[in-house]
Amino acid sequence: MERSQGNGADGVAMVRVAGLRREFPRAGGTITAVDDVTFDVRSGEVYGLLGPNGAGKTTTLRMILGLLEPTAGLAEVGGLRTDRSPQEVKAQIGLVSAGAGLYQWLPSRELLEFFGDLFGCPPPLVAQRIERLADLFELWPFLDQRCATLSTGQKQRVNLARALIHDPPVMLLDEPTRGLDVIGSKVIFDYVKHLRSRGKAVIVCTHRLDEAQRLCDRFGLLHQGRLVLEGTLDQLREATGCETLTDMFLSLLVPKPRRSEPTP
Amino acid sequence: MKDAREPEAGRQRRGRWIRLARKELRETLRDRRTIVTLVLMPILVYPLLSLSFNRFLVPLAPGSDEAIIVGVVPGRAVNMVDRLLSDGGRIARLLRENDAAATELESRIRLQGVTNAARAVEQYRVAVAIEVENFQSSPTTRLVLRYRKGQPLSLTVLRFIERRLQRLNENALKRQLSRLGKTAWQPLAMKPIGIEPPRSTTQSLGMLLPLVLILMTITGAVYPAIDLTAGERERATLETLIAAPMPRHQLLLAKYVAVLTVALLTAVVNLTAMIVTLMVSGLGGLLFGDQVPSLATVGMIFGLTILFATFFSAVLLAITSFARSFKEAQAYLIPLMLLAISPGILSMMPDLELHGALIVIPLVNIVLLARDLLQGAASWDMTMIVVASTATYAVLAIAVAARVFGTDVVGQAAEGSWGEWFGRPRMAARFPTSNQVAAGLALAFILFFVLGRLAALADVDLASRLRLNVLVSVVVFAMMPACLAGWQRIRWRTTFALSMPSPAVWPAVVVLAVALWPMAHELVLLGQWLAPLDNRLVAQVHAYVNELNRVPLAWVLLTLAIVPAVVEEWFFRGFVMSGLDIERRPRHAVLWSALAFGVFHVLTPSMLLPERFLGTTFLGMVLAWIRWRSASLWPGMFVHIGHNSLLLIAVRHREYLERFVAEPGQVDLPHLKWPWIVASLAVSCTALAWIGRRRG
Repeated sequence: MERSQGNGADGVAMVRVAGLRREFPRAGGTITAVDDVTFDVRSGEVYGLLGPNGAGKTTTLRMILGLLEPTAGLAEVGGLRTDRSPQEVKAQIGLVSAGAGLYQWLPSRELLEFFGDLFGCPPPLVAQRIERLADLFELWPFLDQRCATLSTGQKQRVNLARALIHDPPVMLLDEPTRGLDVIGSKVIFDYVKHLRSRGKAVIVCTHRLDEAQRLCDRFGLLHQGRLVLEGTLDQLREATGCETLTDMFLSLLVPKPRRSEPTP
Repeated sequence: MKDAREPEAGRQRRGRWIRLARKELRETLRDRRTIVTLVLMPILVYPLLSLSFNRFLVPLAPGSDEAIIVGVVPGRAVNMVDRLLSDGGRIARLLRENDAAATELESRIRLQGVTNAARAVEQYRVAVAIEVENFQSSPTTRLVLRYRKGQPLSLTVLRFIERRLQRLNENALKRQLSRLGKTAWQPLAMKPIGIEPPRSTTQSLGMLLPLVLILMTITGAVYPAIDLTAGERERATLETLIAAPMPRHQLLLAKYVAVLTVALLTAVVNLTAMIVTLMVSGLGGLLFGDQVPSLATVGMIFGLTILFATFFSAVLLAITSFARSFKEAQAYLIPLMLLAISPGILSMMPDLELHGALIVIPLVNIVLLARDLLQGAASWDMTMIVVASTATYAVLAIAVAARVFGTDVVGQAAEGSWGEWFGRPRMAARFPTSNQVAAGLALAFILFFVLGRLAALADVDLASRLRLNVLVSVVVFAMMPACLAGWQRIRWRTTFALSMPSPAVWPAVVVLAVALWPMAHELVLLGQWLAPLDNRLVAQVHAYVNELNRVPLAWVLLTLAIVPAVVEEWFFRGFVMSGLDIERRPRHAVLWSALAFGVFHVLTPSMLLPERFLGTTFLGMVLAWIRWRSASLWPGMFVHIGHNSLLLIAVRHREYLERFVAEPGQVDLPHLKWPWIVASLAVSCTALAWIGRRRG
């Protein structure tokens, strides 16, 4: 049975992250990759988790997905905690990652069937969804071709379809436009619009702030593992006095001047 | 909604791993490289190998018609030597000494004149060279026979020639005696009769097959194991796979089925190709005698193939799960392959029996079972234990793989650069890292082995030897970790837990120091029951104890109880345990440091002493627990000294032990009376609980 669009009324937080913290052991102690991060994402909302490389975006996503255990704090998806119900949480999430590969020896159709099965979808439903996704992403010309023989753009579209095969209410997109040309990036923009129209709660991690500004409804700016700013673009403009996300970030990166002595 | 879906989801999940296994298998087998390297190559390689064997091995084997050249110096003496050998042969035939092998050899020997006998043998131009030293110049002909040491063919020909010439000499002697009117009289008559070992097809197979099966199943499992674990990471498919709502153990179980299937397929194809090639090329007889393997033997071989493949598929999957790339996985597997070959060679040692601890030693038990099964010497109970223990190891290996596969642990171990390992960090650390602990353990093992062996080689009396042992212990277990910690800026105080514990723990510590040894003693006896000492070792131990009794007790206690206890606590409960994440995962640190402690007591510089493992690991657990709960090294050190000292005193005053606390009438180490063991257990548990409650 198809899941109803949105899987919940607008305004309901599908993803909730509270006080999330993650440390990694390093020689001589630990390093904190994510430090006390709190935000939520509602159905039908596109949330941009932004920051330079190494800011802690992917680590946060991995904790939401249950792939990484938080050192402190919690992450909930659809009201379920990732540490207590990892399988149920995973079933509600679709993951798109720029670096994700495909099984070279499987044709696209078999790959989609395989992931449909992994996510527990009955075969007739998977077949229906493959048809729908093949229409949406124009997969028909290469649906029965081995993944190894596909072009980069074709692989990208198969990957996007793979993430939607179980029609999840939450989508996590990790640097989705990395390494893509203009056409590839446009496919991603259309994809995000499609997800929003389907009422999905979407988190997009990217360091390309210009793109994020066009795609997202709300933003969380991560810097050195901490969520330093959060809100809509207007709220951020008001808080920082900067016009673009890029300027906001640059202002964050500049060290604050020391308080000077009052001049006589 | 969620509750209603759950039973169906459960049912689907159960069947899903089978479909996943099918997908893994399909993907592996669709890769043409797999089929070519694992299946098609052997079909081509074995006939090629058989051609090489036919060219180089068969000529030397019995039954071959290839001529064996015997050189003669000088060349003009060829006819004379030929006549001598013919005459000797005639006499041997008259005496009915010529067996089939001698007749065959005789027909193959060709004499050929050579100029330099030694060089001809050296250069393999002749099997044996006969040098006639005084050809036609003396009534006694002196023959020098030159042969190649260690070459079976040369030795066989030498013996043949010697026997022929000996018959000639004996015949000449008899003729001289008969001319004098006397008969030759032999005070002793001898007739050696060689007993042929029962050499059947399965006998030879039993010796060779385990090694062949090891190589074939490993070869088959290596590629899919790497591809389905490290390959997922390298292809960047790992994250999407583990993001699916499927328990990790089911993912690994599916991968295991795929690896096992390919390993079995490879082994079966290889075995079939090998046996068919041997039979067709005529080499079968050379290796396995005249008999053709029966259907039961073939079935047994297939069963053994499954057992080997079950084991290796799981172990390889566990190891490759730690790797991030094909290259890294291959690097991990090379030592495993080298390690696996050694037990394979054990099957060629007929005196090694499948009993005691060997029944449960991984791989060694399968190898010996394979040999015994094929030689018809295996029992059902042994077979069942070996199969059960192998299945257990496979399950454990899959569990390890499931725990490691796709986790961030994998990245961390490999990320460390050489600088991190050996360079001096700028910041001080409270505890060593796991990498530094691994380096410390490896260094300790190497130093312990090398210095221990050097100390053992010194030709000195026992007191000096004890002094050397103390020096080795101090260098390996005290100075090395101290230097390592100093170089790596790891704080001594935190790492070696040098703070004093709560005074309240000391009464319990004293009690433990006294009460612990009966349990350790019984565990040593249990270890000896599982891995019995052979008579040679027992005699060595007795001799050592007798010698030790002549050294003053104070010196014995200092060198064998106090110093080892202090330095071992410093290393195992200090350096090693601190680096095993003692603050966040103390139970894990207790377990692994105790296992390391146990293993170091088994791997002594002179020999393996597996019977010590249980007792020392138990002691290691107790000492590590004390270190954790008291947050100090000192209580454990005191307990360790007390425990070691009491054991040594018990050995020295064995007569009191036998009179008061031991069961009477036992020849070797005596079991203690059960009230002593129960009392020791009760008192120790109480003392440990007391320390636990007063955590530092």
